[in-house]
Amino acid sequence: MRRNFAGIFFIIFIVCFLLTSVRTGIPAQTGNCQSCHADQAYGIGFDSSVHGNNSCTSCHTGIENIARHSLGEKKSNPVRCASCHREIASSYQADTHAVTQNMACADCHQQIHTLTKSAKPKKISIQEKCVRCHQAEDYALLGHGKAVMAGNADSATCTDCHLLHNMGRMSGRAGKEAALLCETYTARCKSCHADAGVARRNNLSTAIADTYDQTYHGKILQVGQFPRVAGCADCHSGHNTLSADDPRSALHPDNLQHSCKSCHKTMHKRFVSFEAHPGAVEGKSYLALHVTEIFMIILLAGVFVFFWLHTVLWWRRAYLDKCRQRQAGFIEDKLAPECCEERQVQRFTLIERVMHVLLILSFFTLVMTGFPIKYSETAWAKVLVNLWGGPQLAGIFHRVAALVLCALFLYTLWLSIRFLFPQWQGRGWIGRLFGPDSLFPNLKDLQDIKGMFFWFFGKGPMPQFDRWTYWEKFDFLAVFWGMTAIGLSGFMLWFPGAFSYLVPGWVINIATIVHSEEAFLAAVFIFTVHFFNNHIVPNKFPLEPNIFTGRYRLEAMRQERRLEYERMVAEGKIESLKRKGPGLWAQLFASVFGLASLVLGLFLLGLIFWAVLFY
Amino acid sequence: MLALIVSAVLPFQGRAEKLSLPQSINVEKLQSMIRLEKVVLVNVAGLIACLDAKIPGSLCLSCSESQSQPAFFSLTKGSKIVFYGGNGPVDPECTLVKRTIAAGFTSVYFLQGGLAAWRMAGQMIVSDKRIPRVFSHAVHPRSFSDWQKKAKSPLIIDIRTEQAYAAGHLDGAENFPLSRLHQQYPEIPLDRTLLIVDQDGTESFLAASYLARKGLLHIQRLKGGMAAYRGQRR
Repeated sequence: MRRNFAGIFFIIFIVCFLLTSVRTGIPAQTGNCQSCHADQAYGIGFDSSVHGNNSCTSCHTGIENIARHSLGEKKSNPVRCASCHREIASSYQADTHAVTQNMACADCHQQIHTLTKSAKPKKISIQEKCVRCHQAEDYALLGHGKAVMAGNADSATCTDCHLLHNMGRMSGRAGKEAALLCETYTARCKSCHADAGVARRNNLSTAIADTYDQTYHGKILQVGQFPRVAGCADCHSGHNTLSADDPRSALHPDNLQHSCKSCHKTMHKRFVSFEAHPGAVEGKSYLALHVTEIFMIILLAGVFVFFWLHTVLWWRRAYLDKCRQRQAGFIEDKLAPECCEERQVQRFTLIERVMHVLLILSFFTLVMTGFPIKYSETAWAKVLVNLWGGPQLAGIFHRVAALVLCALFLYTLWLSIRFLFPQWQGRGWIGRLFGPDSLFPNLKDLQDIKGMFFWFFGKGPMPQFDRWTYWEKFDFLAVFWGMTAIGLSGFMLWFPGAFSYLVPGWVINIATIVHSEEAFLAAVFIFTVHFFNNHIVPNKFPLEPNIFTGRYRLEAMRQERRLEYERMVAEGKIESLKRKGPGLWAQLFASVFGLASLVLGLFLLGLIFWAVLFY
Repeated sequence: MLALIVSAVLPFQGRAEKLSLPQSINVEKLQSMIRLEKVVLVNVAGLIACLDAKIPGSLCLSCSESQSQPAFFSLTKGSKIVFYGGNGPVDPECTLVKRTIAAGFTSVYFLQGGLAAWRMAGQMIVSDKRIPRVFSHAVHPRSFSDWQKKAKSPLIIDIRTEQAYAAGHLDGAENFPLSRLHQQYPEIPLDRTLLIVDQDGTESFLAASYLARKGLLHIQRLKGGMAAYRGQRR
């Protein structure tokens, strides 16, 4: 009997289960809803829509009592698309449509109950959706949009640039937000325009992206721009990516001035000849740029080949000499501190030493703020820029250091004039210009160069020098040349609009090359040749402190600048030059500051070579 | 030297902040205030916008609120009151805010970035009566004159405040401030082609959707609002 009851209960349970399943199962329940909601949207289109496999209550939750719902007493809970589309809903929280317009899913995806996959390509259907609000003539009918509608699958539809359901805010017209937008959108442009496959299929050149990166705009953008520089959309006017020969294009000659002026408020109309993508357009002539590049390459190659060869040979000869002297017992290993040597002579005045310290500080500032821009694509560029507090502060430091250097340059120029024309007496200035106290090269310097090379190969004695050697004169005059080139080009890059009243825009392109290559020449020369000649050469290693202490040993003068020594003795001036050794604090400053400068310079040299070799 | 200049300037900045009321606070600060004490949140974007989206628990009171709002002004004067708008800062000329300060409330704040900043921070909002959005085309400012020529019986609806409208508006524009649009929309003729103009293009879509729900047809918006129009003319 108990068995029979169990069987009956089991059958009742199965029947109930089946009935419940039929009642709450997907097709039955949808059918129930559709018995009331029988209009076209719910009755016909829903089953074949993309959501057709769901029941009504999958989205319209909270209907527990159909009778009350039928009477209108209980409505369903608000639809939460996020309950299924979690990822999209999550990213959509920050989308500008959600944040600024409070737009919900169904605002775009209207007719949700009959929504089907479009037969059209996705890019076209997205664009068609967007232009229902955003004016078609601005978006779909220009440049990319037009190509999308013509079926070009490579061309960018709205969401390729603005992202789908994840479109950041577009309201940043100033400050960091605007800079970030510019950076983001330029990166998105480059994701296609730097793609070789896309470029090949569409008869474009990836040089467009590469050459932009080589301009000031591109470089600043790469290190994290602020304040903002021109990104792609600033010149190409966002959606107006028409060819430059189209009168509607922002790049058309009639419109270009207006485009440039949106950033460069004060500029002459000739400014527009600036090339934002120099070298990107094949066949276009860039003679002036090529000539400048070739000139700079020859200059750099000439300087480095000569001086690096000079350096290597000098080091080899000095090293061999030192080894021989040590073997012969001429050199004591015990090092005596400079301060213990009482017989010293004055070489540099206080003002000259202060100038050199300022020169070092401004030069390092310029290198550490400028080279991250020159090598903006390197891993260290952003790190170095951020050490200064970001690109904006780095830019300010760069300009302040440049002004310090300019002031030093002008003061040196003034001292040079005073040297040539003491008490404004012109007589004898040629003699002073080529004389032993002058930093201007003379015939003896040529003989000294020749003599040094003979000495390098053991073919003669080391030349005897007067107050200034030829490499010291080169150091000094290189600053004059370098300051003129690097300073003038720097001011052009600082005030491009103002300079357009003097020179055409393409000169700014030349200024970019000159500034960049001159900076390379100056930095690498100082960190290799100057460091070696004055500090790393074996008889001075690790540091020659006389530029900081102002004085050096009388014996060193006798050996290294014998002609000056003899001249001073002959003129009876040697006694007036004699000084006691520098004090402890002067020694300490010279050692710490000098060695720190050397170490920092060599570190920066490493970064530069890293960039040259691996980027 | 830099530190010297900064330290010299900072005390003046602090003094300036003390004098200016209401104080501006960011979302983070508002959250911490809400956690610690009772805060009265007031959405001044207008009734339509406020019912569409607001911070939970907010009052919906527009800047141009003409009624006395006894419930609000009977709050204790030490209550912390935070005013906020939709996408931008609260109008410093907001009458309601001035009245609040004049009534003796001492802890009055503006929420920086308004409701948009609140949402950007991932915070919840509520919609008491959300306006489903209706597609409406945006007319670019440079195409405005074309629109005027081509549109059938065009009518420009300026939804900015009366003060902003009085300070300058498009020729022929009629002023229907968003804060009173729910009261005034019946005055808008049904047979005209409308162009909704706001300050910066962030409110016209809501207004256009609202009017479309009320049965008005042929509604378009000026892209970027008056700010973009003025920028275009420059």
